[in-house]
Amino acid sequence: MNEGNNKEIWAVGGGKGGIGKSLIVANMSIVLAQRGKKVVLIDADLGGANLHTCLGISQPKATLGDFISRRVGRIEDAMVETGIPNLGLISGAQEIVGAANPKHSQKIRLLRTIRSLNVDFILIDLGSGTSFNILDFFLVSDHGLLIVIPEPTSIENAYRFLKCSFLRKVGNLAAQYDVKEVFDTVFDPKNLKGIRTPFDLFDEISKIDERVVELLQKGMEGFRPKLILNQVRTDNDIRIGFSIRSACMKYLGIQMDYLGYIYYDDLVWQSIRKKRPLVIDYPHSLAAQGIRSTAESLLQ
Amino acid sequence: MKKLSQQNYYQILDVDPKATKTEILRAFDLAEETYGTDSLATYSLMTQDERRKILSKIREAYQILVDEESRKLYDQYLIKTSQITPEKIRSLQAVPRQAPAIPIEKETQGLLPPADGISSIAGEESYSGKTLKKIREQKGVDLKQIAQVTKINITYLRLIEEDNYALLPAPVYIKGFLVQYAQCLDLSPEKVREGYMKLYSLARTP
Repeated sequence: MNEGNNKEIWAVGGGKGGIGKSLIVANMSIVLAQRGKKVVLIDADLGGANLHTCLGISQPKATLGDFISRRVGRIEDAMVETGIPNLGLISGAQEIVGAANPKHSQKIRLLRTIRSLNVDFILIDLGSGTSFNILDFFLVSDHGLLIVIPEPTSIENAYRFLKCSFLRKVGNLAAQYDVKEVFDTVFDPKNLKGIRTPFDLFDEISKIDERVVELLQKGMEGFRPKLILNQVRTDNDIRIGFSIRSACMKYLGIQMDYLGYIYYDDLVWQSIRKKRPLVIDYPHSLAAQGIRSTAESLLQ
Repeated sequence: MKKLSQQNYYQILDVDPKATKTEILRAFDLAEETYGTDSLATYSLMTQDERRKILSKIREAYQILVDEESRKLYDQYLIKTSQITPEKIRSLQAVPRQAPAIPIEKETQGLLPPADGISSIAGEESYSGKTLKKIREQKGVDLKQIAQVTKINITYLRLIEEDNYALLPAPVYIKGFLVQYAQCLDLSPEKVREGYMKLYSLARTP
């Protein structure tokens, strides 16, 4: 068990629903737990939580929503056993409204408490979309994992997610400087200043103060999302990951690592139907191998 | 975080300054795919015009780096302008005579599909056209690129890979083609030439 500060938070996002985020994060957490790491899996898909199903357990009574609304005092009280040694689950809120949209103060308390959990790894499953709640979970992590499938809609949403995450982080950093006027319009893709990429944003800020650009660029050095390509069928699909990485660097100026890929596999569908974890029931399947090797590459 | 206009040719092509010719070919191939008209990875991110501009810079970088002489001159320019130190450059160092092991970019290790049997193929003493084709494909190099770089007619390259001895030109030409083909794949030119011609002679002996 990790009682120090060297625990790691992995947050899994992707902007789009139905691309395998929950399945991947659930199985990655099992891979880590099987290696003797103490792991907590958090379902932060507030409003659409279903990680418990991926782990093959019934809907837990206590959820993250209970902690957010203070029905339970400690976050550990919202954690349930999964039947898998070393792996605990904090299930997502089930309320239609309320906990799905926590207030800013509730979110700050939640993020701080998550960081203080007494474990080695905290894996967070994010919902779809680019709301500030989702982005803040992504940005608080040590490793932000971006799941993409080789389809136009998923790729399009992934870029949107990346741009929004970048803007959210750089916006937070810039709050202490006098460049607010640039950020007032930047979230509008049709903004009149023509800001479409981080490069454009920094050009615009440099018109006000070049030193601020240097400070912001330094502050953004740690922003390095990790790409996982899911449901690949061909070598060309695998190459799309390299292309996305290249476009991010050359066009957006965002450094990204291509962590790995997971093959499309009918056994995934079967494991979901059976409500059983893929890496336990089908450990030798192509998809399970992909999940295992991507998790391991992050451990190195 | 450098804009494309501020990057050197190696950064533009996303290769190490010590990259082999195969790595340069492969990087260019990926870049053409990434910024091409039908690219799934970039169609929603940038306009056609932006893609054309990036591609044009990439082609400029490729033209310089794929040619040994122009690459040497460019490396000297990078050193002179203190953009890079001499030990980081490949073209100014002695190129090993022995063919190196088939290179796999560090960052792609474990990501690329396994190249079954590639090491045993690379170690072969006799190189049939089929073996050469297999090595080329496993290295992800397109035959058109070899034709473009070497200026050898692609038909001759195909005939070499098909072991179609009857339609190939005189041995003296084939030997020249084989040396250039091998250089593109970072294989030993001598071994490939001798290995291929051994099979050629056996087949042509009545």
